[in-house]
Amino acid sequence: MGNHLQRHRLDTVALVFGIIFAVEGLAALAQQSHWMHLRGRTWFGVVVVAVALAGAAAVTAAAIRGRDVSTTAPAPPRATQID
Amino acid sequence: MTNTMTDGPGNGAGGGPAWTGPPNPLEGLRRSSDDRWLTGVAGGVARHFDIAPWIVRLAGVALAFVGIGVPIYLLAWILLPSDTRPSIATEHGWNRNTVVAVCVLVVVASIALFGIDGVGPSDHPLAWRLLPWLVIGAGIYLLVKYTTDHDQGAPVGPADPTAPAPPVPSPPPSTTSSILVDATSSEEVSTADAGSTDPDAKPTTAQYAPVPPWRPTMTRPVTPAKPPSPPRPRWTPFLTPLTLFALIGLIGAAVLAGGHGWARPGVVTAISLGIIGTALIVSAFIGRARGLIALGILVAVPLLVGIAAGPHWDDWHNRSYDPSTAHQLHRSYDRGIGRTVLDLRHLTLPISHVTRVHIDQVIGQVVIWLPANANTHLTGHVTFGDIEYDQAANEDNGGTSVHTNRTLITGDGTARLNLDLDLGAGQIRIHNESTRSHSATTGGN
Repeated sequence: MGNHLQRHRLDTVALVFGIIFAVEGLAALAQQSHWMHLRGRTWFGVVVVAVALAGAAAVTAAAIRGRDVSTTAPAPPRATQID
Repeated sequence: MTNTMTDGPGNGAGGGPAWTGPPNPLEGLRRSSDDRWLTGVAGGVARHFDIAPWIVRLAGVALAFVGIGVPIYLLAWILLPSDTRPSIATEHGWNRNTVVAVCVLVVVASIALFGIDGVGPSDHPLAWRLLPWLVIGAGIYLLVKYTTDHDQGAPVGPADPTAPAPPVPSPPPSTTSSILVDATSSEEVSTADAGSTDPDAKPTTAQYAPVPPWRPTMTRPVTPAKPPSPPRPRWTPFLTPLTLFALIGLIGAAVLAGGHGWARPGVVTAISLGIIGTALIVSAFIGRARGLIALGILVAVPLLVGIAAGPHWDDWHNRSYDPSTAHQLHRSYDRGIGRTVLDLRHLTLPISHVTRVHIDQVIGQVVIWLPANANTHLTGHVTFGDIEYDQAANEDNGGTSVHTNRTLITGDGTARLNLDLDLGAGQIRIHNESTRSHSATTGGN
């Protein structure tokens, strides 16, 4: 699994849309279940928060993935000196 | 012709035996290529059973009105081969499980659309009943598209034994072999060794050959020729079909539950959006499911618009309320889309205090029958539409942002009622059986 994850390239677009949809779906579910009362401007605020969350998560995930790649990549071949 | 499902493992996309055609009882049944109006199903059936095509088409139309004709036609189109091509299921490499799943989905969607006795709400609006078809259509489209793209990079079949053997890559050179580069040896030239006969003679600096600057003897590893990498294993699609099946199951369960409570369209849409979002998040790390982005947008847009319109936008039923006591009268009626009738003619209101009622509806018509004996103060606002009174039939109160503020006295007017109406788009209609007097201001843009 770990090797597979390392080989798989992060799909940032899917991550961004996924977080936006997940946050909006949760907010809408809360609204429909009367846990929250969102109308007009507040609902627009939820959308903005979802987009911000998605962007932050995408940047963070990309940074973590980049660090993982840099630490796990094999070192480049070095010249060998023969005395 | 083999018209049975092959038993070879893993023939179809996603595992399981591949679908190759209808079962034996329907062997030979094909869609007609020359006698076709839409897909040739009726022509093929007529030819197979040797009856006139117009009879089959007429029967198909009749069955479509009943409801069962649509899924039968769809399944025949998907599963039957035509005269010139294999069936859609065969062409796209669907396995048996996929074919069964598609059949189940089509049947569930048909129940949602047309309903059967006791199953499927018959009073749901057409838009709600069409929703499963939209999802299933998107799912079948993605399935066809994905399997097509999937097969393009897949090995077509076993290798042709007569084909020339592929070139065997030469073994890579050993990494231990090295090429000597710049192996400059500095050879000392000594006059003492160069034929001088005087053993005591000391060499002078001028007698030495100039010493080149020291350069190390370097060996540079040679990059071996990479052998051709083995083909990467095909990525088995699981996220998109899994998500679609989850959505279909959710919608089907909601439809069968009658569309009430948790099964309301708003709740189902919100859960669907959450499922799609979760699948996309997973797909960012494992697999690919970008097709779900379009589906998510399709689901998110009406959800956003609906929730922005009001908390009960998904209440699409026509409702009628006929309270007879103040206890039965709600203080607030929040409605989505439809017709709301509040009949207060049989209502007995307390005289001691003012009764307040608020009606909030997104789209539709709000009909109010005033109580027979009350002093009713009515304020109303329609963002897009009109407000009509029985007493002012010729009054034009239509347009945008229409508002009204009236006091209507019926009977002796001892009870006091405050009605506050708020409608997004549509019509507010006020009826009363006997109004003694009214004072009003009504206007709009």
